[in-house]
Amino acid sequence: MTPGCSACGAPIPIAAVLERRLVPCPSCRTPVTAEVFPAFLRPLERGVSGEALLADDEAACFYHPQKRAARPCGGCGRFLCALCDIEVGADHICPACLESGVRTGRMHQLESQRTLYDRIALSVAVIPMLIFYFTLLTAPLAIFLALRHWRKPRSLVTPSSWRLVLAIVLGTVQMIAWAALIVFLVNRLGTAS
Amino acid sequence: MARGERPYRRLPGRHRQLSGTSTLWTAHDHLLLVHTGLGYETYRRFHFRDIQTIVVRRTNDYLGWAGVYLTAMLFLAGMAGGQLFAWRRPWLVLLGGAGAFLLVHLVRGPTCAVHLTTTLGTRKLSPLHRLRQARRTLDRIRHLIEEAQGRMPAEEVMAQAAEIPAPAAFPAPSAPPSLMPPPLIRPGVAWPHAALCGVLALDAVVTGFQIGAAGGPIDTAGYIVYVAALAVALVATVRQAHSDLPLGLRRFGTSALVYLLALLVVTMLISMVELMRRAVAGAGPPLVMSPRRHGFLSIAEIVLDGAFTIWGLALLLQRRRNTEAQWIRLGT
Repeated sequence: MTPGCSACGAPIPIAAVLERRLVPCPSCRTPVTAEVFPAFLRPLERGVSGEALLADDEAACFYHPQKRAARPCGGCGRFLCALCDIEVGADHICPACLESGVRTGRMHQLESQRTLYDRIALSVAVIPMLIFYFTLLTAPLAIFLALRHWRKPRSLVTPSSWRLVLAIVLGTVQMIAWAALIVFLVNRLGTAS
Repeated sequence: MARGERPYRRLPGRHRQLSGTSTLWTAHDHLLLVHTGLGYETYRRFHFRDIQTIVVRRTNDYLGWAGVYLTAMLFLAGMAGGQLFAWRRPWLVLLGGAGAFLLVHLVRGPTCAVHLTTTLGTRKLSPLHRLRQARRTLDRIRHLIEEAQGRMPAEEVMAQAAEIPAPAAFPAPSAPPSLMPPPLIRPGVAWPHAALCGVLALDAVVTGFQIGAAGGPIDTAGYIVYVAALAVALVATVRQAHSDLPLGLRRFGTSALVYLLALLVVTMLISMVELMRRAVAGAGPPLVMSPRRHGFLSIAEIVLDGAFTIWGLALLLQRRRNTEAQWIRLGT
């Protein structure tokens, strides 16, 4: 068993793996190299079913009373059999905690998507500046979005609040500019009449 | 974790595309592939204990992009040296810009594609598209993977792997397993495409008026109609993704969006040259580019708008006929 070339799937030459240098693939001639780790030898883990309860004094699974408890849930503390035990990173939890964790967004390890309201607010504040007429509507919208979603989770990797602050600042400046323009035009009309 | 300490550290590499940017991050026990769009982020985690192989393959993009930049430079040099335009400095500035892009591209070094395999499947790490970045990243994550899996020399891994039967090791090249679930097909709606046809037709009419009688109101109207067309094309392109709309209609939506974006780029380029020319001549900048001055562009826009409208309408009519025929077949 050898890792395959990512272009053609043919086995990569051993020299490319051992010496960590680019070696032409024997099939497609593309220079290729590979890093191989011990997990490469590990077969696909099969799921295990819970062991049957043999004695009355043994702890039983909360969800399967006939199965022996293997460990408690890290979320709710209920006893779980091997079938109900779900490993998430370093934690072991039950299916109910997994479901509620995903639903409420409390389990960051399982989060696969996040709406970034700080970026949306900043975009609403910046992009309409290209066509400045729109800022009359978008400036208050940007401020509203920034304040409304101030406490919402931000980016998982760069969770800073500078975008929200900038959106509020830009929105405020645009609104002040519009107010100044309106006052100027009203004064000018008044002077002309 | 201490307060204020960030759980993720950024790795070298970044992949920019129309839909957003992809970056790679490390945590103490996993690698995180992040795709950042305009208002969202998607995450994909690869736990260090599950990573089996990382395959790095050199690609030809390095030469390809160098060729593209060189071609652009040749074109701009031709424009700068030609007699068509009396004033050459803007073209020389653009030529310098293309040269800078080429230089940066050459300095960043050869390109590559990196694929990471776990027990569940193989995934391309798009942020790593330069060999130098890939090597730096591998140097940084190698010890983390070894900490999670235990240290074993590559010779020993390969020796033990040689004893494992081959079929399980090689995924079929035509259909590599992926961690991505198959996309869901949703029922397609054609109203954005119909609206796109309408707005493009309107754009053609307004552009025609602009050639005949350019002025403040008509130029502003043309501007608004163009922005509307761009917005509708964007909606059509987004709504048609993973839908059961006919391939022709989907191609129409994408082509219209590309056309409108190309039009924007060309207009901006010409406006930039015009602005620089006027700045050097001491004249004030024009608020709106006059279509009279660039009649050839306006005529091309009318022709293309018309062609896109006819193409879209033909496809919409064909879809309607097919849907009706399907109902008749179901009825009988």
